[in-house]
Amino acid sequence: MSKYLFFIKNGFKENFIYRTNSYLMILGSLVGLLITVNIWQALYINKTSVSGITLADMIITVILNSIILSFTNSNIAEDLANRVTDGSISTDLIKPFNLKWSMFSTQLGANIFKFIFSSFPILIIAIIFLDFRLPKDNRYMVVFILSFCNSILLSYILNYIIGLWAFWLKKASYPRWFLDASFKLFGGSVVPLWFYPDALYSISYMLPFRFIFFEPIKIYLMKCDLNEAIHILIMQLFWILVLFALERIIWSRAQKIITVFGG
Amino acid sequence: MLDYIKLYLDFSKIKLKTQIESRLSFFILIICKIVGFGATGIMLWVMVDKFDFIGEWNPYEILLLFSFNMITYAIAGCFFYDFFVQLPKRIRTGELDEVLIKPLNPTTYLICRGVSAGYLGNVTVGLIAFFISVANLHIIFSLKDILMLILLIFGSSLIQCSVFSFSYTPSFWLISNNGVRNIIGDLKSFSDYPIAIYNKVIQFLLTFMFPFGFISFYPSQYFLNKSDGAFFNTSFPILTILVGLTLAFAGYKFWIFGLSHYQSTGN
Repeated sequence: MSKYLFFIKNGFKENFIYRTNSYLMILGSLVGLLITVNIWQALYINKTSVSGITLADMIITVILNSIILSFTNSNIAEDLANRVTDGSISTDLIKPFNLKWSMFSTQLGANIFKFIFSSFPILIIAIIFLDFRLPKDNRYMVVFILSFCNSILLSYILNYIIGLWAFWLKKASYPRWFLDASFKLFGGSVVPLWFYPDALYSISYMLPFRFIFFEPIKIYLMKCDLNEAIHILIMQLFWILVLFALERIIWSRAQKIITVFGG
Repeated sequence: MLDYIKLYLDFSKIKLKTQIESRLSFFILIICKIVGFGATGIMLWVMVDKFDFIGEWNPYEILLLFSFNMITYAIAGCFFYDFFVQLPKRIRTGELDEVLIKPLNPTTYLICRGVSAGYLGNVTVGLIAFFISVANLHIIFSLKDILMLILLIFGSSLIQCSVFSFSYTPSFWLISNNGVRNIIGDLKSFSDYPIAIYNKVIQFLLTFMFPFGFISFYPSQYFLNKSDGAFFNTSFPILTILVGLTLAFAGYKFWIFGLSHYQSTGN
């Protein structure tokens, strides 16, 4: 366990080398917040609520999206794909720790860094100026935090699976583009699913991406009852299990390819 | 001059051939870009469509804005992406030293080597958005409009080129230019939406200080007959070309300035 803590610390430190960049990152994320808030304010002019969602709800959604993004935005796919294409994965496999979990821990460290230097300042500004509030019912807060942890794990495992493609494609070709696009289209990382047209909503409903962004936020905003919130947690765990199983299958196939290449 | 053009074409031919040599990975790259930028475009449309308007702009007008952004970025990227994005790496690895001792002006050499076919995806998304928008808005282009379209895309592409220069040339002085690049990128993302929705101070900054408004907002206004925005002036669409030329010149001078201060990492 302690070795993985070491990876977390390392992931954090790696990002903190360039101090000036870290401070510029704070500035950049505040600019980003200003833009997004302005957009939703402009959209809500002359409207009090759309699909039952008010501007105040939307502002909270924007802040939460940015926090979730800072924890789920990861390099795991690219990193893994690079290790596969440059062959360094062969030495990674004989190291005395699990490759997957070491990558996850390093990424968590990097994401904690991202949180501190991008969404934490946003959170502070939002509490002071934008009336950001906690859910009125503490039980929802507890369920939200649990679902948030699940969504981080869910995003990491998705990343890992996408990274494994490199075994077949032989190239680390921008795996992140697919994930970012899926998060936007099916996860609600830009526009929440409430505002989706029916067709896009039904596709998103079948996919795991909405459990990373939209569903945890729905719990936070108390737009569902507690039973439904628990149901969301169960569905998240279901998807995590399915994806881990899928990863095992892909991995066992990939191992065969490694032996073909080795030598 | 003619020699240079021939040189450029020869280099480009080789570069493009190497890029599409591995068919599969080139194909995947293009698909990735289409999916990535397509998703951005679709979400933009979904968002505005649900609310009918953002500012005074309807979903299809927003698509026109988006396509302007997309196409001009692709044009700039096609010629300068490699030139600038590889720069930090070239400085770090000492590859730039190699470039400097070539019997050719380093800027010319790097431009010649820099053409990239990877922007086919962006152009595809941009063109699809453009045609969907034009078809739904029933915009009819007269001969003058077509000429203006070409000139405005030219001017706006020059602005995009200069953004590359201002984002990456600082790597001559900084160990990592990521901070500068990201902050310019963040400021530029103001122009993904009609700038009339922001408050007057921001509109002023985006018009006169960091003229990102000229990338897509003011040019699109010309075709949509719009006059929103606090500083709107009928000469703005034409001004786009001047702003483009000025910024491109400034970007070029900045690059030359950076190059003259280059100190090799020594290896």
